[in-house]
Amino acid sequence: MSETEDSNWGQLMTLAQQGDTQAYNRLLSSLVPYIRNFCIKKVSYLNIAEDVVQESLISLHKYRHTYDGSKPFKPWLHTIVKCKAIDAVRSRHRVISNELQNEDGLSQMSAPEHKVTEGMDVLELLKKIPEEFRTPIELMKLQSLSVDDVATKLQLSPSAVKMRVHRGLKLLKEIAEGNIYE
Amino acid sequence: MNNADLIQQLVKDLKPVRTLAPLWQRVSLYLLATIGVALIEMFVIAKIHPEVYLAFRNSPMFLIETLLILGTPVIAAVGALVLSVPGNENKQWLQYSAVAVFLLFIGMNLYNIFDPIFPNSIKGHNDYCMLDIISLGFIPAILLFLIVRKAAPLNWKWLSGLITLGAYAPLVAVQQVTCMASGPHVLLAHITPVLLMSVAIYYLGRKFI
Repeated sequence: MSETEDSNWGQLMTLAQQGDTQAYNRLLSSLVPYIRNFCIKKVSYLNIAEDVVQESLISLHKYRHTYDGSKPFKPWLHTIVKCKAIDAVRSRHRVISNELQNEDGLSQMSAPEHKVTEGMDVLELLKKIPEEFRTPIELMKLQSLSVDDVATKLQLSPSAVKMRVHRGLKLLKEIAEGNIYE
Repeated sequence: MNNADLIQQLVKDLKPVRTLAPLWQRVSLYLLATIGVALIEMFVIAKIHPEVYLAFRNSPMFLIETLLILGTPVIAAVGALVLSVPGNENKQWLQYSAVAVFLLFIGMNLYNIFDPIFPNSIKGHNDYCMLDIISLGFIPAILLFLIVRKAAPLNWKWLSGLITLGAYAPLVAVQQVTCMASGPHVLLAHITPVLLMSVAIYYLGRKFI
């Protein structure tokens, strides 16, 4: 990464702050490979690097007013990407830990009302519901994104996101209880 | 959604933005509000307790304590305002300094418990210290929260702590000079509310950030 590239990005961001869409498009497009490489170096999970790239782009858009054109661009970008990478890693650990806890909990369950969930994996269950419900649930419940962020990502209104999550969870519950045989 | 689609969406949403106000402006706004609230607190104490006096003691320890509790909110607020802007990671010493200075203040008050000069009592000169601090601290806390939220509150754990110290420590400083109290009272009625509010601000702020 050269200094010229850094100052170029800084100039493009300054233009974007003034509403220049061409400059913004150039900036975001040129940042994607850089952020991806940065993530792969910082985060050992390759499969979440792509999520971090998208999260970083959304945050960069949200916080673009905080960039000071007189300062280098890289440190500003790195702070945002690092925070998003840390969030993604924490979220992944939470999911893994929940899955492990579920396994422990399931082995101890013997009551008949718990039988329906025995041996079931949330991620496996998620695969059984339509994508329009699955994606918002994955983003909100597994990646801990806010409703607004999911709405931006999926190009939906926040109320549509909430509705899909609600209906998706209801569907999951019915599948888990055996009321729906897919 | 792939990256290209997301970029198209973001470019479509692009609107001109006003960049963040300079640090000195944001710090001045905070200082004005906080000094105002501190003066209100002094006025309230003087109204409830007309006999109120400035609890200056001829002790270097007291002077150090007062300097520490006056320095805590300034370092914390500047830290919150600086660190809520991405790219200032090299200034993380501000957050550690604010916490260190406040811990030193707590340490000195813990030491006071064993100092025979002070009456070892939980009761202070002003019975409403805790209430004063919690109720009046809301004003600078909300203001500081709004200023930080306008920037990029990415590391909320630290920022919420700094907001708490920036908003509540000035009121502890007022109590320091108006409440003739001993170590246990300061710990219970002056410092505990700050610690409680740090937890409250962390969880409340997370909902509104």
